[in-house]
Amino acid sequence: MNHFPTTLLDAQQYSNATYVGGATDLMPLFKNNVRDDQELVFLTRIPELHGIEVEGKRLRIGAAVTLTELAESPLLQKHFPAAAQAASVVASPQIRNIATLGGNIMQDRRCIYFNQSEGWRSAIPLCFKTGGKVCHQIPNSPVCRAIYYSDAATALLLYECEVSYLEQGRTVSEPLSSLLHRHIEANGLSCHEHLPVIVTHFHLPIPSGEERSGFHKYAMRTTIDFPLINFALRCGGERRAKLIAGAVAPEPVELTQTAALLETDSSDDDVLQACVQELKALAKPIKEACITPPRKRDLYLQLAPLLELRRR
Amino acid sequence: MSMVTITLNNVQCSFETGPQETLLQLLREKAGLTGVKCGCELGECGACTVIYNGRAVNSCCILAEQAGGANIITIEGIGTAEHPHPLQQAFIDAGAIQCGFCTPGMILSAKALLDRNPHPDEETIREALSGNLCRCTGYSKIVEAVQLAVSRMEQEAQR
Repeated sequence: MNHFPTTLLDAQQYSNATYVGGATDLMPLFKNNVRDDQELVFLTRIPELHGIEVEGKRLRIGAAVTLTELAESPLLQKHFPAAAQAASVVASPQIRNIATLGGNIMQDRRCIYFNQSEGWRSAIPLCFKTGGKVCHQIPNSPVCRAIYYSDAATALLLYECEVSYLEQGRTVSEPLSSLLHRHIEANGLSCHEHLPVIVTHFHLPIPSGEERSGFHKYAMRTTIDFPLINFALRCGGERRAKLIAGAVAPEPVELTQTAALLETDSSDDDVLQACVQELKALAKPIKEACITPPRKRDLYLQLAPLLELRRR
Repeated sequence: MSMVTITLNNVQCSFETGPQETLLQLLREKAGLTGVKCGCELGECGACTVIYNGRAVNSCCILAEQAGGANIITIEGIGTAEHPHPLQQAFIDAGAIQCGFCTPGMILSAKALLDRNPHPDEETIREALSGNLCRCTGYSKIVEAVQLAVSRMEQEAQR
């Protein structure tokens, strides 16, 4: 059963609900019988979940804003270029025209062992995500080790994003990093286990001064494939320099040691080497389509294009 | 089953639909619009592209119920064999069609672009078509066809 509430109050009335935005990420999972959610509650007809507005010293973004709207937003392009750039390279134009920011952030993680057709999966034992008791990537792992591939999350984390959501009738506001951590833990095993929250808004403090920021994604076929790695970087402003890497672990990682070098006299080569070393410690590579963990580690150098921001 | 009402090629239509039926299935099997092609059904190939409230989307990734109230344009809605849309004529004239399977999606992605930006540069055209795969042409002829349509539409507008 699909539901299309027009108020947040109505949206909270369904039991066993799976809250969705555009649902573009779920459709392939339904078709491959990885998921069979029975109560889909679409949030895109709720007016208050739309809009990108300045609210005091913050930008407020509705969770049902599409990725195209984000990418085209002059406010985002001006104050949060990494977020606009990230939104502009998610999947294809057709997907971005339907997919929402809330859905992109709350997407499930992915792995070559369960993002497959039912026939393909029938040749191996069920993994955690499909109701089994093993992670084929790391057989002695107590949880699924699938990677979280959101481009938007990497960019939003760069800007100290706060998120508002409804959980059991209560409005919660907390750092996006906290919600992401809970989200990843909540569906650490089965696809059916997910946080029963309605994400409503994202809040980004507007930076002052001359802060520069950007986003870089590396993928095999950009409109089809999820990122093999992505980076978001900021520097040059009043806030400390910051660097986030995504698609390297079950949740994005902050590279604090590398970021500390960004506004020093360190050469770009030194920064890149620091990035490689820090990611070797923080990343949790698994086998992915087209790439093995050793080759993935070579991609840690993909930070390089963003280092141009140090000199502008 | 439930009823969904959409504006399809400028005509309001209602269809009975199930909770798991996609817009692609509804358009092909209930509306009989087989110009909407069924390719990967995973949102990757773009063969099922339609214009949905003015934007190109993959109809395989939208549930039919989700599309309730939407304004949808398919390839059947933009021209006829006797009076093709300038993009359709340009695809023919530029040799941008081989097997033809990707062509409806390509043309609708291009139309959605030109409706918003009538004078796109080559990079913008390539970006707008980046969600449509073609295994025959190598894309060059397709981009040339869109550029040809742009120039013809500009000339037409100046008359």
